[in-house]
Parts: sequence; C-alpha cells; structure tokens
Amino acid sequence: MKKMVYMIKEYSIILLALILYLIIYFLDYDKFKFIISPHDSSFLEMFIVLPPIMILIGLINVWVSKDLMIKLMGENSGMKGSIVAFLLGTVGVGPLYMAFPVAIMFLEKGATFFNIFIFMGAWASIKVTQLLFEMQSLGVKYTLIRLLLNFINIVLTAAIINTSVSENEKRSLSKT
Amino acid sequence: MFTIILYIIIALTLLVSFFKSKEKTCQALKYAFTSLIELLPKLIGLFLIITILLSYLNTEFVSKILGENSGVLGVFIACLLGSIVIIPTMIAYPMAAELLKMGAGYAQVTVFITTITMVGLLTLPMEIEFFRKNIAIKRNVLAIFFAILSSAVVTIIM
Repeated sequence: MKKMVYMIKEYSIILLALILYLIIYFLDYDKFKFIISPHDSSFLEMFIVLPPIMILIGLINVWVSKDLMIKLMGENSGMKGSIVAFLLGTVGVGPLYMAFPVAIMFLEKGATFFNIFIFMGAWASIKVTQLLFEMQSLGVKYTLIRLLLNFINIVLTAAIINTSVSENEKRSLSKT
Repeated sequence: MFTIILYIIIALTLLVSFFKSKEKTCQALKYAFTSLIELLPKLIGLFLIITILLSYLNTEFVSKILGENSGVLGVFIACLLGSIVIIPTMIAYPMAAELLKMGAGYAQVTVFITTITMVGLLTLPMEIEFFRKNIAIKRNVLAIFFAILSSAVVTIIM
C-alpha cells in the first residue's frame, strides 16, 4: 500500500503534464505542435549532464571514504571546509536540482550541514559556466555586483538554515 | 562546450578508477545507475511541464508584464514567475538581456534571474524528497527574500 502511494506521487507530475499536453492539444493545436517539436536544444542540456553527474556520485560514493569527507568538509574543517564546499559548487553543471543528490551524498559521507548549503548555493548562482554566460549577456559590472550579493546571500542563507534546523532534523536527512 | 569537457573528465576519472579497482568501479556504476533510475521520473515530469511553460513564456510576453515602469508590481510578478519556473540559464540570461533592452528595470530583471536560479516551486516536490518539507521551504523562502533584497541593492547601484 505504501509502495503504491509512493508510486502515485512519483508519477503524478508526469500525469499532470500529460493532461496539460492533452488540453493544449485540443485548445491550441498550433501551440501543441510547437511544444512537441524539437525547437530548443537547451533542454537536451538538462538531460545530457545527468549521466556524468550520476557517475560522479557513484564514484564519490565508492572512493571517498567518510574519513576523507570529514577531513575535507566535515565537523572540524572550519573555514577551509566551507571554502572547499564553495569551490565544489562553482564547478557544478546543470541547474540547482542537479546538486541535490550530490549534496545529500556529501552529507551522508560526513560533510557538515552548513557546508552543503554553501555548496548548493554556489552551484545555483555562482557556477563558473553560469558566470561567464552572465557576463556575456548582461555585462561584467552587473555580474560582479550580483556575484557579491549572491555570495552574501549564500552564506547568510546557509547560516540561517543551519541554526534554525534541529540536530535531529539534520541527522534524519542522511537516512534518505 | 563545457559538457564535452565534463564528459571527458568523467570518462578519464572512470578509466583511472577502473584500473585501480575493477570491483569498486562496477559498484560505482551500479550505484550511479540506481540513482539515475530513482531520479528519472521526477526529472521527466519536470521537463514536460517546463517545456509547456517556456513555450508560453517567451520574451514578448514577459516583457509586456515586466516592461518599463512596471514598478513594484513588476518586481513581484517577476518574483512569482521566476520562483515557479526553473529555467536553464542558457535561456534565462539572454531572455533577461532582451528584457532589459525592451525596457524592464534592473530591479525586475534581477529578481527574475535570482529566483529562476535559486527558487523552484516546480522543483519543490523533488527538493522535499531530498531535504524534507521544513528545510526545503525555508531555503526557498530565504532565497526569495534575498532575491528581493538583491534587486533593491542592484537598483541603487546600477
């Protein structure tokens, strides 16, 4: 029974999407044709980075021991750990939700809660690839201003979440 | 371009791993595969919905809402739009540049970009699965708050 509920939740979004497609098909056929045509290669980007990231997670899972992770980003790694987390975030590929599995993996291996939020924050807004693209589209000055703001944003968000979440809750994540 | 570099790096890493330990490498690949299978349903649903949203959310439409003098209302609409969607930055940044050209203010565009990259209503279910409701919601709310704050600062500076 529980498995069924889980399956329904998993596939409900796909179902919702398919229903929407059906609605559009009947209400606006031209739009429907447009939507299903391969008009945008940037979506391939979403899926194309998936296999490498999954393989990366697999490799980290197998090769990075808990001791190593704790040394790098764990309890007593201090500022160095946060810097490592930040740098790792900047080399991210893909949108923020790609970072979730990686972040959880880090957490399970022993990285601190604070550090993985730094990691995700950096991945979301300060990825190197993104920065370069932003400079190209919106100018260097704007990018640098936002860079600074994002940085402050990330650190503050990580700190606030870290202090406002109970130890129990933090530990419960690793059992995912 | 970067994707190619990524693939090359991963391929090389796999090779090294394979030579160091066949067994561990197979374990890693198995883990990768199972993680992928778990992730896929969530991503496919997301992808399908984003495709629909983006086909309606082209630059003309957005610029009508966020155009010149859209003011504070524009900021809130930008915030709402950006929060719901998570668009690949490849699309979002050129769109933002276009919006600027068409008269949107830096405030609206900044909120738009920040919420696009950091907040995701659509990805919330997925985030909740990884981080539980409490944390996921907190993070997104904080991100929205800082997005608006950032836009205020940017407006003053630019």
